[in-house]
Amino acid sequence: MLRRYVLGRILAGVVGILVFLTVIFFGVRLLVPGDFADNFAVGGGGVQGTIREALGLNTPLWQQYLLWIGRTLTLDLGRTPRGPTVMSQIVAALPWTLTMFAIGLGGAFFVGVKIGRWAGWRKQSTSPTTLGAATLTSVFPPWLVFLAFYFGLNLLGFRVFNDITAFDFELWDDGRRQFPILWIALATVAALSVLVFIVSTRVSHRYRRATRRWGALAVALVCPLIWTLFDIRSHVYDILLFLLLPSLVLFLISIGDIILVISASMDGLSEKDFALTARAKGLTDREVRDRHAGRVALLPALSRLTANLPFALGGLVIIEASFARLGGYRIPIPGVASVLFGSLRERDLVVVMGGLVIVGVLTLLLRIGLDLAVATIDPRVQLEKVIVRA
Amino acid sequence: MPRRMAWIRGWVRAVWSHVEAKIGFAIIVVFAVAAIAHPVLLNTVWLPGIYDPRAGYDRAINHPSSPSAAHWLGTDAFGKDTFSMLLAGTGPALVAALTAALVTAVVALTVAALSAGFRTADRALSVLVDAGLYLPVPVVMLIIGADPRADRLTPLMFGLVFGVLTGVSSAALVLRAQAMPVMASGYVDAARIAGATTRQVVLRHLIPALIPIASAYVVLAAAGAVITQGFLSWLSYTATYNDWGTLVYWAIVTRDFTGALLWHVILAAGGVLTALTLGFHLLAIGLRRAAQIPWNSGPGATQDSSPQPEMSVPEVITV
Repeated sequence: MLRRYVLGRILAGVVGILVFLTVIFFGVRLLVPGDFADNFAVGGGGVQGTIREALGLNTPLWQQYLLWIGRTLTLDLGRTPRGPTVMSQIVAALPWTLTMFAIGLGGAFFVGVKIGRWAGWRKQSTSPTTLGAATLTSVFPPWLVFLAFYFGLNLLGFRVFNDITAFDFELWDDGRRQFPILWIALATVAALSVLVFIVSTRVSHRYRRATRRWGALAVALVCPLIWTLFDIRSHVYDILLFLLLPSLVLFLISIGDIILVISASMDGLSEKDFALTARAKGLTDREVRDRHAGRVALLPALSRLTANLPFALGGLVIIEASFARLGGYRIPIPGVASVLFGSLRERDLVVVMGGLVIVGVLTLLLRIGLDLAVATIDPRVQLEKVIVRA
Repeated sequence: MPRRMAWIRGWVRAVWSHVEAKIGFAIIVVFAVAAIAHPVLLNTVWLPGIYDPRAGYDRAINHPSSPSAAHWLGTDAFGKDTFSMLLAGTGPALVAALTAALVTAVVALTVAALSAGFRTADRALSVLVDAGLYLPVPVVMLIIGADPRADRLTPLMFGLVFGVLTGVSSAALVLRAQAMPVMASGYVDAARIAGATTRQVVLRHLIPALIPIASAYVVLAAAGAVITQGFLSWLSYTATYNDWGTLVYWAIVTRDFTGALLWHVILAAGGVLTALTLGFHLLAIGLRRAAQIPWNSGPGATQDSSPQPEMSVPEVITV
């Protein structure tokens, strides 16, 4: 059943992506008038005509469309006027975005679920305050939160974000060091975390929680050792420090919604039959809350997260663009959004379209991942979808 | 009020019974009054030479200045009155938000109604909605705003584009999910048996049933429009001159020659932007509660366990 569900989900995603690519192709042409020759060629109409011919821009639009779709599906997103391919630029920028996304949204989900569970379990006296604060955080404009943090921390004497020029980051240099550094760092953390998760599912239920806790500690201790072996530890720390502010902002603007959803889902669960049964079996109140009611409340939060992914990515774009604006566009956070933003300012449409494709594919992959998580937790979802499709 | 529209009165009463809706509505009304008051003040009480939001300058004091009796929120580095600039920015923000809300409502309701009423259209529209979800709205607005001829992004145009994009993606997803159970409900079956066509069912039963739910998401879209417009104006990507985001930008940039950040301007502009967003957000909470939708059935809920909202069913059913 799960296999059929997964296949159906992927197929629907592929169709959606094809429509999405079509919308991007014609949408960008509609929204951003002019082509490469208009924007970059100097020397009059003759030069522009030659460039158009060389790049195939004088062919009919439908031919350009088919060519672009074909190349995009083979992961060839084109080449920029500067030289490097669009794909190499985006692959270099991707780990920055993924790291911010993981720290900001992942952290918000982890902490938000815990606070939401606690606030929604019983009508405690502190709950309204927590929920009120959560509502407030969800209405703060992300770029204002970013500015507040930036200037607030600088007023308090934390100058870390002014020292960004000390880094030898060069976004457009393919041979730059931080590209493999971030990928190695991310791969280390991901591989060890998956290992801990697999081990924890194999051990007895009684030791599962302890295994995960000690495993998380082991990951935190072993990762720096591995980074030392690769001689990248100090660079990873620098990068994490650099990403602290944008990740913190993403964390703050995401956590309110998660708390509200979880606490609303927890409402009334303490009186349900399964909670009474669990208590009757001798489980403590906390165990009933976390192991039984908490899982039930997790489902809507995951669903909500799935639908909110484009908004979270949009928030990331806002944060990255705000950072670039603050530095007078000189020192961007070299994530996917900044590649997109920089290209927009230079009218580099090939990169703009490539960036949008990556944002879309990233959203699709994350959505499929979250859908699978929901389907694994709640088998009724698989059944419902398969029946609906049949 | 005709009998057929009587459910609207019940719905408004249900919304008004929630304190969040009252506070949210009051905040929005205050902003609307401020937007109307600005030109009136400039033509009556305030001297345009001093309080004009684009060219005003008070020669009697040094600039930038802190809040005082003459300038309630101080002045910026160019000598313009902060309070007057804030009031001038209220109109564009409200126009953008309300246009976005209206367009979102029309687009999302159309998509949901077509999907629920016509199976063939549903297949095509569900793919379109799915594709729309891959595209973050702020990014598209950024692409439009980044055009050197960005003057085209007036508040009205901003609201229009934002509304279409939101309406065809997240709002349509939610309303489509809510429309399906309505079409399968008993009273719709009864209407069909009584001889109602699909068009009549959609217009007389489905759309009135969706309006209470749609209103909550539409008001949230207005909040999103306020946030995004503030962001775009902070990047100088909007056509109007006195947007709140623009005030924040100048308050930061002018520190190079004033020697300090203009905190009173940043806090005032950030504060009003957050307050208006909060107003829309609270109103959305009230509308959601009135439609009896819990927070967990928000955008993307793959299965909605909430009961079919009572208020969403018209009190008078006529074919």
